[in-house]
Amino acid sequence: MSDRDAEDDALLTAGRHAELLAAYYPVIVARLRLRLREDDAYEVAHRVVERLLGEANRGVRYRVPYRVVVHSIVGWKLREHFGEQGPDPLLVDPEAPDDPLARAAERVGLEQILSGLPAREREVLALRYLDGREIVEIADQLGVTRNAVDQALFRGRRRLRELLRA
Amino acid sequence: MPETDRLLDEYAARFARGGSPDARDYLARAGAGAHELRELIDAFLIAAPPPAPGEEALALMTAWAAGKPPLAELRRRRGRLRDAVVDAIVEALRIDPARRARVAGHYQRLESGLLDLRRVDPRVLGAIAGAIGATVDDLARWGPRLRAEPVLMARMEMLAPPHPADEVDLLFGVAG
Repeated sequence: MSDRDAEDDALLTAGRHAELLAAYYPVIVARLRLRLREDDAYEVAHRVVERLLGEANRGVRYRVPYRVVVHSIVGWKLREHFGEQGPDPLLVDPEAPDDPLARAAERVGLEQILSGLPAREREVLALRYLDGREIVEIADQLGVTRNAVDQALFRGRRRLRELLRA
Repeated sequence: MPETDRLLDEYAARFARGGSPDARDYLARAGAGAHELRELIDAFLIAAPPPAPGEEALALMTAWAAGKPPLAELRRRRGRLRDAVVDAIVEALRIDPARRARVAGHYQRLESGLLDLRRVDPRVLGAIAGAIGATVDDLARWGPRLRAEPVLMARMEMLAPPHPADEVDLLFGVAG
């Protein structure tokens, strides 16, 4: 379980649902805006949040990390928006061979992806894609040239792209 | 650096900083690589831990989770009175002041989630956003969405004007 998954689990257990959803709402909107026009993206995003709030209010606990639940519901609501019928991912029998939650849980998080990279690339990519630092800031922090950061980003990004597409 | 890599890098760094980059801008800039970039950004969004929410986003989501309208909370947090927003709509749309009460009623219903934001005239949304000190995107993000539930539909029917729809009704999407 990643640090973020553990943090989500703690928030869920403590009933701090608004904190959880406030963090995930921009991600939900961003994913939907990739595929839908503005109005529809917010419409579907609201449905996703309402579903997650409903689950939270009923005290539902999950067998997979919360991020997996969120992204599974996003995918399901997106398919629903396009008129595709599919099983509710949270209601599928966990023993079923095509359990969508189990499939989604196989997609590892960025922290895990980065942990498989060489130390310098991992450091640079974490500062860039987890902390959002500018390249010059990363160079200053690590005491290297901007060119060295660019090279580490280039190599790391090549590997990141392979892993993201896996 | 390939263009899709550069755009993914830019998008991901902005997102990690807590920004709200509009993916469509990036997809438009990607040209023939738009499909690939869309899949890469989507994979990044699934894999990346979400940035910590800001204080306002947390307050608005707290209101939403408590069943209170986030749009009203947004207005309160920006220190604007409902009357000031109504005045701004009347002024911006040059509505007959005699119709102000009707505007106020519709705006209150909009805030409360009894009117569908998507049916409201964009000029009204612009006036509301300006009065609150927000963007139209903020309104869409935190505004109400009507669901086709029997109770809500019945409430909508009760809201239907008993007379032919006037300019104000049309602006708020109550009729027509």
